[in-house]
Amino acid sequence: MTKSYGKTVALDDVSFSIPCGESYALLGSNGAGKSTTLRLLVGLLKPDTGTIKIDGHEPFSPEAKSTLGYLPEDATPYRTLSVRENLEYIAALRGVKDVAGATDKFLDELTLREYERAKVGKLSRGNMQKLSIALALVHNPKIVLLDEPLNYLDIPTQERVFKMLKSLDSTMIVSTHIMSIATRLTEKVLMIARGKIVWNGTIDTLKGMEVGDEPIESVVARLMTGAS
Amino acid sequence: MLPKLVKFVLLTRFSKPLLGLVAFFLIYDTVIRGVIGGSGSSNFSGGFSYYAIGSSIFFIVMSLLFGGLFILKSDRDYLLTLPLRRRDLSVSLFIAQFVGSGITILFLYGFYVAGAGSLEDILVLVANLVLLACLVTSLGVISNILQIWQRVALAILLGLWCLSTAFGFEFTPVSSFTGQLVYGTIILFTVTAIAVPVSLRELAYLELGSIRSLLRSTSTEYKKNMSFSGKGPIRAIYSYHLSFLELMGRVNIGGSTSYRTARVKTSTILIISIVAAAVYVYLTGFSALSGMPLTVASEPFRPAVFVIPVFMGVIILVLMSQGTFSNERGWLAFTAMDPATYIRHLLLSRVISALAIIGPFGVADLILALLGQMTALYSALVLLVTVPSASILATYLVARIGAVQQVKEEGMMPGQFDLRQFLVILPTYFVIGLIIVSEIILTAAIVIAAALTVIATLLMIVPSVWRGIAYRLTQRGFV
Repeated sequence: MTKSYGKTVALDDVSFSIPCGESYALLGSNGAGKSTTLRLLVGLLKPDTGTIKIDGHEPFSPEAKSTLGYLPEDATPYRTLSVRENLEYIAALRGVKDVAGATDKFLDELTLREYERAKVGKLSRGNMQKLSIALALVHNPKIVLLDEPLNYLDIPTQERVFKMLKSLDSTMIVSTHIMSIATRLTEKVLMIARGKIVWNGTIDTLKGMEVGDEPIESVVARLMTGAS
Repeated sequence: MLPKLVKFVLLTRFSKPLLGLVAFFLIYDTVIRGVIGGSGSSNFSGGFSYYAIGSSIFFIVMSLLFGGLFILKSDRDYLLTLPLRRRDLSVSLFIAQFVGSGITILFLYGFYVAGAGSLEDILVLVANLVLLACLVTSLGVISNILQIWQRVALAILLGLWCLSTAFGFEFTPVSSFTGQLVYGTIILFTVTAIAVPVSLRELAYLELGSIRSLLRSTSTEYKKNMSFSGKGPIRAIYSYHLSFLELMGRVNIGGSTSYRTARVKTSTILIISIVAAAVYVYLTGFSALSGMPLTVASEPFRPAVFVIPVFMGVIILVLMSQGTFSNERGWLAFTAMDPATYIRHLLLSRVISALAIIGPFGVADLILALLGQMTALYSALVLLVTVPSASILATYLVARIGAVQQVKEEGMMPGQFDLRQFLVILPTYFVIGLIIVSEIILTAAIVIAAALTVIATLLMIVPSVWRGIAYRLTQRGFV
């Protein structure tokens, strides 16, 4: 697929497939096209050329919508609703059968119970991120697309989210700049630079490319810079 | 330092093309139209007086209810932390507020002033316009430190005070526009002399006032939560948007400086509207009810039949076109279901809640028409058909040209205002023009209502139109 914003080419003839059940880290420098990729996959944007299939369906089809869970970077839920209202509203929109049950589950798992009635616009950024994660997962999606999911979270909450995501039996794409997140959540890497895929392989292969005491971040930087 | 700060503050809030256009309008409307073209108005009677009083009430009330600060999030994080002189900061921000909101008054009534007669009268009226612009600017700032009920109370008080001018009361801030130059100027000067220093002080210490009050209420909780349990997707949309109204105002050149929501139940709005409509029927049609000729008492209220649809049309178009998408979250709503389905039901739910405001007045007009006031039939058509259809069209146009800004922080500008946001008001003016024509000619009212209904219906039945809007909003940074 190709996607441009005016004269700026965000994605240039990018093609990849993610097998069901696998988890990929989407790595890339700032402005490389990671967020655009996720927005195209989730049907928020339309590619200029090319096609996208989610489990064999168009991204805007009801089948794809019910399969996908998406968390953008710096996500903001509905600011004028309370925490509980946000969760219930989105669960209802997604056709979740037990709306109250799903809501209660996430309120407890992400320690949001005490803010249940709080207006979202008045929450701290960390609590807003917890709610956003809950909103992305409230319908138990088969495919999860996450853009910097652990931003703003304190360490205990990060650990809780790690556990929660690892326990999901979902196909996952995690866009991140932090390699520890990529290595803990995913097994494979899709690396983008200047709108093109420049590397595709396993985390283990990436680790095997380390020279001496070189950290994995240096390997990634080398691959990205080399590509550009 | 002050000139540099003023320049910085203006250019971070308004794009250069937008400032250029404002300057052009200012020169065109006040100098070229006024001096060369002339207004053709006959001094202080008829058209100009009604227009000036009505518009003044509109700006004063809207500033108080929806006025916001021309403050960016980055001001809170950077500008307000700099070691600047408070006076410079306050003056710079006031100028930005003036350019953003108060200046509208100068180019909306400026050209009429030329018809005032003698040079002395013209000068006094110019001074009145500048004072009024400063007052509107200040009220927009002051509204931020008032509770909702205080804003509403003050808006009603000032609105009624100004309205009394139309019934011959001389001692009001806008009585200059009916020829009471001495009393009007003295009162307007006094009110402005109170409001401006208060707003300057507020702007000088924003981090201690408005911004602190925005930040400190971190534990705000809703006493009563809406429940979506047991509701399907479509019912959830209607349940959300019919439960309470989300108000968003635009009383400036660029867009909305603040997004405010009030959890007012739609049923409460409906009851208030029904009561107001009943009063309206009584005042405009009482004599018709009793089967007697019009009394002198009811005569002054007759223009209300004409004015109310125009005023309500503006309010609804502004609320719908600016407010429908501003608080939407594409990553949630557009990924939960087909955006076309979501947006169309969202729009219909908003139209229904708009009808809770204007519907009772439409029905009241039908009653008046049955009682023999045929012009009320035109107004009923406008309120019940033209305005709802036009609001769908206006919402579409505003989103299509990408002029909606997503609200990410309440009480602050969502970003720099550019020409796009200024021009987006044009469809509203166009619709106001259509409403006015509809109020005069019945055939036109029927044709316009039918045409707008057909266009709105066609828009609503094509899913790709709304999918395109969702893509468009996402491309404009709407996530």
